[in-house]
Amino acid sequence: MSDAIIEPLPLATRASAVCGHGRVVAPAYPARPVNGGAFNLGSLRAGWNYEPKYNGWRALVHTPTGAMFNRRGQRLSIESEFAEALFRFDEFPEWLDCEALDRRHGVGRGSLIVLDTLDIPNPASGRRPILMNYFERRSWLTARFNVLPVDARPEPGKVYCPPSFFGDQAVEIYDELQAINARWGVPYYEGVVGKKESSLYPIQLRSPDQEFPFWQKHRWAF
Amino acid sequence: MNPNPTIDLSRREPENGVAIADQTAPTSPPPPARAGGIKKISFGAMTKKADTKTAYPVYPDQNKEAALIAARIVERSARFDELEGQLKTDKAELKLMVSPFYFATNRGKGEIPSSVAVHSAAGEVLVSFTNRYPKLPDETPLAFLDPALVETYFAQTFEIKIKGDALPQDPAICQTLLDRLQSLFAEFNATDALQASAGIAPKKNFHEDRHRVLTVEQNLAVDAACPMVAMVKTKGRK
Repeated sequence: MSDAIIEPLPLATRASAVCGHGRVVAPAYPARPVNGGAFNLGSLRAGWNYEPKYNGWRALVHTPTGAMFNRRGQRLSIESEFAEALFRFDEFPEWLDCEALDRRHGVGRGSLIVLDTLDIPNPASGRRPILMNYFERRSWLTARFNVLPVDARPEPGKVYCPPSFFGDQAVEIYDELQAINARWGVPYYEGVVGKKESSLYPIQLRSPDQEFPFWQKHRWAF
Repeated sequence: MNPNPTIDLSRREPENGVAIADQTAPTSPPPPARAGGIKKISFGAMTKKADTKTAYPVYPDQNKEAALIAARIVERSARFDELEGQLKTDKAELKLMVSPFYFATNRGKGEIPSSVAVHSAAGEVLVSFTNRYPKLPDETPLAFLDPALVETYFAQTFEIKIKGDALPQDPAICQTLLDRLQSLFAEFNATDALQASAGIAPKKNFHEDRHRVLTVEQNLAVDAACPMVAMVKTKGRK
């Protein structure tokens, strides 16, 4: 029997889009955090960092083309509203996991919060392999994008990294984010997301609903 | 005055299609009242948003027993979701923690124990390592392993499913097709690769017809023999 690779059957759940001369397909579903419930000192885990959870659209961004995909791998129809933000990306990393701030609350419309990068290793292209843990990936990203303080409104069309907290400070910030929502009069924050420092970004195409246990969301009820 | 007024027919996309109608768009002024007509005021942005939740027939819960159970389900589902999330993380953390020990203690052995035990004051927990692996989308994640190792231990895997209800409805044609398929696999000595699961299931139109054709007693009898799958949903039903 031949050893030739058989082309895989098309995956119905994978999105595809024609961008320029090639077909761009979301390489994975974005990491989906498990439900961590309410957040308090008892929720804190050693070796975990906590970031604000923004109320926006989850978007995988293909930086060379500006193509955006939702958490189910489908092409987003609001790319044009992020044209200014998308213009700010270099070609590398190729894929960014973002929160796209659009029309839900009016704060930071057209801006992108870079949550992570899921650039997958591609030795053939000579690019640096991204087999970094969260801590390393975050260091890499924050060297390229400004960190947005929790009490600062994002400017339209800009690209930011979220701030990150750990320990008691994370619990204080959880309360502070709710106070900011009240001051601004909009549901801009939804809670916090905990991320294990040593975890690699999960690359999977099995299901958009598959949860990643090394990310935990702690939402409050509106 | 513009003699050729234009109407903006720019398409708004549905909310679940990500883009939504611009909620800050100026509202139209109220139409002028005709003489003797009812004067109306505009509520603009205060206008009640159309309720998009589907209205289903409500169970006549006269003694409130169903409401009691529903309330318990809502409350316990929320607690269950949270517990499930915490458990998933705890199990993943434990597996990550004991993995180096598992590989170290079993290195070089032919027959290895399937699990690692972790003792605690509350009892023993086993971390079991099974012979089940996720299917990778492609070989890219393996790019940093020794290529010889990848070639030796990894291979493409696939399943081809046949949707029986999409085949021609003539049983004779179906039988011929499946017979030929089996012959083809036998020709390549690959009969074991052909696996089929067969069973009895209601036909396509049963679900709709049962309400029209069957009596309540008949439906209950069918449901006892072939229960309709039912899910109790709590999310998005506030």
